[in-house]
Amino acid sequence: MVGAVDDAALWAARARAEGALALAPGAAAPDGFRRLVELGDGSVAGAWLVPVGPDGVTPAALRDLRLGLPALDHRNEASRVLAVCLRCCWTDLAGEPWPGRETSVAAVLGMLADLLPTRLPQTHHRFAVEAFRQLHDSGWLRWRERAGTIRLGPRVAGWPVSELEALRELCRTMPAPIPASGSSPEARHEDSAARAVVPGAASGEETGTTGEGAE
Amino acid sequence: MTHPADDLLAALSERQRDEVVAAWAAVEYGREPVEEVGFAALRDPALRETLRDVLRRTGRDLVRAAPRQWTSGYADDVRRELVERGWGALPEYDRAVLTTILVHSVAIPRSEGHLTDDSWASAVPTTMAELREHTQLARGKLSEALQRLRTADLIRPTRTAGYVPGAQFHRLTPAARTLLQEELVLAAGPGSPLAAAIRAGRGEQ
Repeated sequence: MVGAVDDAALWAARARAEGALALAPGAAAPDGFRRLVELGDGSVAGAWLVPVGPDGVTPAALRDLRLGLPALDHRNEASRVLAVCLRCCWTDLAGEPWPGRETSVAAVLGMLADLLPTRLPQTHHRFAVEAFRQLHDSGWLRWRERAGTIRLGPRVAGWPVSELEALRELCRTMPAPIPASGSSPEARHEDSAARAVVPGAASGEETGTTGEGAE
Repeated sequence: MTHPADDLLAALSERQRDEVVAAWAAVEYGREPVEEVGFAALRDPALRETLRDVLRRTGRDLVRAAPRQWTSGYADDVRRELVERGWGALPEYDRAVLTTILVHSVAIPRSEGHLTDDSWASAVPTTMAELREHTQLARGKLSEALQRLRTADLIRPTRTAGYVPGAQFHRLTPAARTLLQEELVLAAGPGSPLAAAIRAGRGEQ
C-alpha cells in the first residue's frame, strides 16, 4: 500500500491521530497545515505543523452548531492549570502567548497554592498532574515530566486573536509567578525562551479554545 | 495557507460551501454522530458526496453511525497506511487496557447473547477489579492509561465506576468494524469454530 495514499491525506490523518506534528526545521509543510517555527538561541530549533480545517473552521464552531463540546476530566481544574501555565509562560503580554518561556512544575504548583490556599499541597499536585497530562496530550502544554518543566504547546499559537485580550486581562488579574528555587527557570529573569516567528499567522484562528482533548 | 480540499469547495455556491464546511465541522469535531436532519450537506445526497470527497482529501471518510446519523473516521486505505508506518498508535499499556474493556464489555456479552447488534455500545461495564486482574498493571500505570483513554473518548466511565467503549467507536468504517470484531474473536476465543472460520477466510484472500 505504500505510495498508494496521497501525501497530504496521510499527513493530515497522522495529525488527526497525534495532534500537532513536530518536524525538523526546514521540512516542507503539506497543504492543510499551519507551520509554526520555534527559535532557540537565535536559530531555528524546530517546527510544528498544526492542522487547519477547510475555510479555517475551528472546534469553536460546535457552539454555533449547538453540538456538545468534548468533555474533559475535571474541566475546571484543567482550565485553572492552563491559566496558571499561561501566566507563568507568557512573559510579554503585549505580544502573542506562544511560545513564551519555559516554567517549572514547582512554579505552577506555587501559584495554584496561592490561588487556592486552603487546599492541601498533595491535592494540588494530584489535580495538577492529571491536568498536565490531559493538556499535554491535547497539545495545549508541553510537559516534561522527568525534568519537571512546562512550556506552552503549539495549540496556544492558534488561540483566536479576538480572544487574546480576555486572556491578557485574566493574566493581569493573577499573581506574578513565584520563584520556585534558585535554579528553576523562574529564578532567571531573562526571557530564556525562544521568540516565535509565525509566518503568515498573525490572525491565527486555527484551533478551538475550550481545551478539548485530541482525538 | 491552503486546504487540500479548496478546489472542491471553490466549485460550490457560497451557500453550499457554508453547508459543507458546517457539516465537516460537525462530523470532524463533534463528539457524537450528528443527525442528518440538522445539516443540508448530510441530507442532500449530492452535497453529502461532496462532503465525503472533502473528507477524503485529509484521509477521512464519512461514516453512517446509525440510520440518518453521521460521523467521520479514517478512510480504510489511510488507516492501513498509518498502521503500517506505526503513526498514531496508542501506547502499549493503553492498548492492553482498551482491549480488556472491549473483551469484557462487548466480546463476552455478545458471545453470551446479551448484545445482539454489532455496535460498540455496551451496557456491561468493565470493573476496576477486572481491569486490575487482567492487565496486571500497577495502579498508577492503570489510572494513567484510563485517563488517556477517557480524554481520547475511547472509553466512557459509567455510574457504577466501570468503563464501556467510548464515542470514538462510532467512527469505525464498516471494514474497520469487521476487522476489529474479527480480532476480538481471535483474541478472546482462538480455539473457537468462529476463529477458525476467520483464519480460513483470511487465508483464502
